Amino acid sequence: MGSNVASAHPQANSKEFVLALPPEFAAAHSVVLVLNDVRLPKSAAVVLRARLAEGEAEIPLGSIGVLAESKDAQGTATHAALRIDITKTLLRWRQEHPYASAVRIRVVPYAGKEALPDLEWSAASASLTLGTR
Amino acid sequence: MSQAKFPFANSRRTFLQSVGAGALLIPSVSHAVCEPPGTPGSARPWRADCRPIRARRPASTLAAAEIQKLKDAYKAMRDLSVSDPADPRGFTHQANIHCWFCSVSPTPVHGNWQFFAWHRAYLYFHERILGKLINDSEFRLPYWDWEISTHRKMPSAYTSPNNNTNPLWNGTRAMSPSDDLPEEDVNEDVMEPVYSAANFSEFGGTGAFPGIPEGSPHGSVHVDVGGFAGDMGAFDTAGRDPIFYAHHANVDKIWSDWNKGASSHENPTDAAFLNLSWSFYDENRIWRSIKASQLLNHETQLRYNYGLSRFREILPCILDWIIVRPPWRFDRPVVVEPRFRDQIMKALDERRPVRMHINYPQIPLDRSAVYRVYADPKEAEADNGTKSPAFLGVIPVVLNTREKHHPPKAPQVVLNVGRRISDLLHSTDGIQLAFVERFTTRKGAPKVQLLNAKEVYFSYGETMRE
Repeated sequence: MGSNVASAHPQANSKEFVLALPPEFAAAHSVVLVLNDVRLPKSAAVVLRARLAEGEAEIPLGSIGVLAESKDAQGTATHAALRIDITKTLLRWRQEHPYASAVRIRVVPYAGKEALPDLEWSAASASLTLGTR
Repeated sequence: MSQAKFPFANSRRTFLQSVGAGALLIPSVSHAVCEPPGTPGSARPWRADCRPIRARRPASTLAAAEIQKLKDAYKAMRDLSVSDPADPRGFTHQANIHCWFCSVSPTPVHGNWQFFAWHRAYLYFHERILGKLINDSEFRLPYWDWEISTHRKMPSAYTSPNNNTNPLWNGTRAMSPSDDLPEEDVNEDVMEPVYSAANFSEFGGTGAFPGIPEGSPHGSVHVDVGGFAGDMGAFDTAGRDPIFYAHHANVDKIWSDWNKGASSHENPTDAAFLNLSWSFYDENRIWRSIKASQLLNHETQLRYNYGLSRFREILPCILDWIIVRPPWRFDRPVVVEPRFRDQIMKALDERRPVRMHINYPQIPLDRSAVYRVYADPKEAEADNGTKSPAFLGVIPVVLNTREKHHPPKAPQVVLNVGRRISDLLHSTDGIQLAFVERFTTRKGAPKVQLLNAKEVYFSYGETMRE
């Protein structure tokens, strides 16, 4: 399993989603976390890091980098869908939790190694998309 | 949604003040000017590239001399922005190409299947300009192979020295020379799904959606390097950081590796994709348009690879064949006048392919045979084949046994001309073609015959255009 990241106090502006694991999940070729209707400041360069939340611990799942339009841009950019491939870590986790029916995923904004606790952003929903060969 | 309160809101301005942006070596780049780089519709079509195929190599493995060459190239590009701000090959203009296509262009090159192809074209022209500025057609960009666990730091060429005396430096980076890229943005858990993407839609996106790697690792590395306020983190400024080009060379390599990974890893064949077209200034300041279909094989079309070649340069890459037609009389030797001779000799000296064309050679067509052709009857008499300085090649005749006849006339024969015939080219007696049947055992067969033909002329391959 990937490294656990202790997180006694989840970042205030992180978003949590509890997602049901589809029955065909274990046989999937790929598992993609889709963040729907994500709104970010146009001037923000952000890496959204998805973590699997287990109590106060977090396990890195994957990330997506979103470039700013411009540092001088005003307003909000809306991304209809941001996709993060979380296949490897989630399938490994599944082997250790064969009876789990849902997963709690926390998405945290970063800029490089710096967390962005004051960034205002939103994601309307999240879902898991399975890919098969 | 209200404007966010950003923790580093002033950091960029403060930083630029602290490092004294606009120092002598590195010209100040003011707010991005995202005007279109050329006049739409006026571009000349890109033509084939015949430079030698050379490898793009990991930036971390460059030798000191190669790093210096890279720095010299970027210094020349930066200097050009100062000495001639209107020159489209200058660094500021080069950076603003990304600004235009990624922030202003009505057809964005991010977030859809243009992403990989457009950046390949951008880097290609950028690379050729860098090579031109240091007069080295073999110059190729290095790549930052951050997916390798030991290469997570920025390559030292880009950070050493870590100040504005280094043409590869950028003062707005959030990542320090000692920082590693965050593991979770570039590790094998990220890369494996990229390399195993089942089809191009998954890998490189569609006309409406991006592929997986555009967000991560590509986007993540941008933001990791630039942080919240650095050039690399924003579309309009990313091209201002020279490490952008090493980062995107690696993204391009990942596309190349994905293509090689499985037979099903094919690029789109839709005309809508293949006919995607963009324009860039080339190394000679000529505004060129290039199509996606012209860059899908970077090795044969754009003349670079990533070290493991699938194509060996065993065949010459020819742009055009230039005809040299000395006066020719049916019954006389070919006397090559100096003006023609100089053309041919120049081509031979430059190791370009030179050919002799013999139209309708008068050779026996009544039986199958192989005839050796020489540019000198005495050499034909000796018949030493490839050891002879006058040997031009062979003309095979294969009898059609079913119809008992040959094609009525042997059409054009094309023979390669080697450097060894230079003495004959200079001869005032001219070139007298002769042929001899190879390995003949027939009694009474003439050993050597003069070769006449309807026409004889030369051509040579043009491999470079200025």
